[in-house]
Amino acid sequence: MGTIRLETQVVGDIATILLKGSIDEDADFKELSELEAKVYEFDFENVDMLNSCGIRGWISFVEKIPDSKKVIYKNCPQIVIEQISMVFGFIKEGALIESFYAPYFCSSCDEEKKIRLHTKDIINMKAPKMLCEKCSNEMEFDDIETQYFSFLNR
Amino acid sequence: MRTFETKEKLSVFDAVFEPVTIIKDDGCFIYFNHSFRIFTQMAPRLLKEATVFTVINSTRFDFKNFVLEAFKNDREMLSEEIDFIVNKDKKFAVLKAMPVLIGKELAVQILFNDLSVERRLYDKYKINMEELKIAYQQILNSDKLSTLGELTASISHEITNPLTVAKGNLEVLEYCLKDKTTDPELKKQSLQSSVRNLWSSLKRIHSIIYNMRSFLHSAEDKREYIRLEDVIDSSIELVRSLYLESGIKLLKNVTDINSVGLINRIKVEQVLVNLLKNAYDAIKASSEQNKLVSINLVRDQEDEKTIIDVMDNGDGISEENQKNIFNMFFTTKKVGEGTGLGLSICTRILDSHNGKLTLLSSRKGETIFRIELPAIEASSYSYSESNLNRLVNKNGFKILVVDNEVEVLNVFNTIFKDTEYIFIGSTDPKEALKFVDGMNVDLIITDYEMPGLNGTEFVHKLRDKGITTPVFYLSSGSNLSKYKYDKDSLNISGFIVKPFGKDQIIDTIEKVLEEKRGAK
Repeated sequence: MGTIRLETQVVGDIATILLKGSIDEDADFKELSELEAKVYEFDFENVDMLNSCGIRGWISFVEKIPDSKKVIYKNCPQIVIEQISMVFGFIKEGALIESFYAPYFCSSCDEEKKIRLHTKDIINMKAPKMLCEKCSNEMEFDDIETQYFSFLNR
Repeated sequence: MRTFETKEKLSVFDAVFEPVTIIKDDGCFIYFNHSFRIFTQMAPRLLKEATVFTVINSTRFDFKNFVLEAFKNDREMLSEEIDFIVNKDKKFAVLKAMPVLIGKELAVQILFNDLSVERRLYDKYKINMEELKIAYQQILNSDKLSTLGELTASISHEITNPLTVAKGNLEVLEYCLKDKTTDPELKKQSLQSSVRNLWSSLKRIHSIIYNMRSFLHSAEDKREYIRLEDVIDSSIELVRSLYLESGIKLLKNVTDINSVGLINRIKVEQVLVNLLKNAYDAIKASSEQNKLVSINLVRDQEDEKTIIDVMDNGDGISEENQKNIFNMFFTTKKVGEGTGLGLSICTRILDSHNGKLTLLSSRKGETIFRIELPAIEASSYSYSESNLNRLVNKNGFKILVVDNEVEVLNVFNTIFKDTEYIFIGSTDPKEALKFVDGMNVDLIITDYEMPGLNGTEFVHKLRDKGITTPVFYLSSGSNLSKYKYDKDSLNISGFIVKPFGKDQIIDTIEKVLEEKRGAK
């Protein structure tokens, strides 16, 4: 998809920033440094790649957001969840991970699906039961729960 | 061999950042950590059904054989950097494989050093660096053209003088050929004098144009051993007429005529011309009656560097401007009169020579710009090392050549270019002695007849320091007797007769170094 593009919308005190593309060495978050809001919602739905250089840039940006501001991470794809556990600082201290995508597999349909979950639905590090839209059978969680949800313990 | 009592003990790798997997000899997974799962972007249920050979798909790396070798030889195996496809993504990594025991079952543990990001950046920025180098070269050339443009009026004036002399002498020749009355002997003398003057004028014009062309000559960063006084002279030559026309004195003061640098002559000349041109501009505008610019060269023995100061007695640079003069595009000249690139380019050129440019002082009556260049031994070493790094082989043997003739050092420079040897040149045996104090070299080739210390005296001092490095004498055949005399007492390994060829040098060195490698 190419290097990151940022679509920002400010309504009242809430700034919603939609990130699209790759968070890599060319990602530039400078345009967000002028943003003034009480709440920052970062939507990662359309992030298709991130590497260590891009993460560094992200951390450098997110650190500068004053602690008094509320920061929310939404719709984090699997690649972002995987990085959260590996890199300190990706999630700003005190920030909320509202929603993310988790891998499921329907053995009847032989299909992998990414299902959007809310953090509040995860209890005791267990993936909630999900039914396949096609065959209505219960899907299995397609990763190791303790590892995938470890970010909730940070 | 590392042993894990049970499979459960493998959970020690769960928290490790690097992808780790443990496999059987057929490639089936016994264990993989979370990082390995992320690295392959494959669900655990798929990994359990696959083998490592199907998951890590490389066309140029014999992964199976790599694993087999680890099993067979019971030792750690390290791969070269390999590329492979993982879940449709191209990745780069170095693998380390080692045999382990899980209970009683023999297995192989593989660690992956994921270099994909580094490789991506390297490939990406290699192209950008090439483009930057081209852009930089264009800026350098543009600066040269700009300087030359400013000097053109004086250069054309410079050519006019010998042309006028040539024209005058041609008229004399013409007259002599037509004249039938003048005494033949007198006519002959007149003709000879005119021809000599003509040659002299033509040589002068040729030299001016040659200097201009050499100055403009762009492209590669070729370094040679060059007497720094020669570079000062050719730089002065380019600006001389400017100074003459304006009645500004330009003096040269060289305290060490033997000062040699391993430099790109054209680039260092560009630095000097820039400084001389700046000094000229500054002093021309000043109120000083006895306008003077001097260029002084001294050798700093203690710090092992050569210093060239360009000094003018103009009005000085204001404190405010002093902070900015080395910045790109900063200029105090009017629009169209200067690009502001000169000093930043000079700084860049000297940085690339491991030297530096500073404004030593600037007040009314005295402004000094100081060029510092490292001793040639240090320059040679760092230049060779950087060339060697480009050849990838970083384990080059260091060869020190001591010869007061720069031409000989340049021959060696050419011989050792693109080889695995680190070549260090020195024109002064005393400086060479200081150098070997701080740096182990593997071989020394020394001229015999040198001012200050001859070969015997030089090697004596080496051996007195406890330096047992093999030494070759390099000289004409007339000094063979010296070699025979010193061979045993000073442990001289051999004698190279001048003139010598490249193959002869390489063969000789190979023999000595073969013994050394064997000893290591």
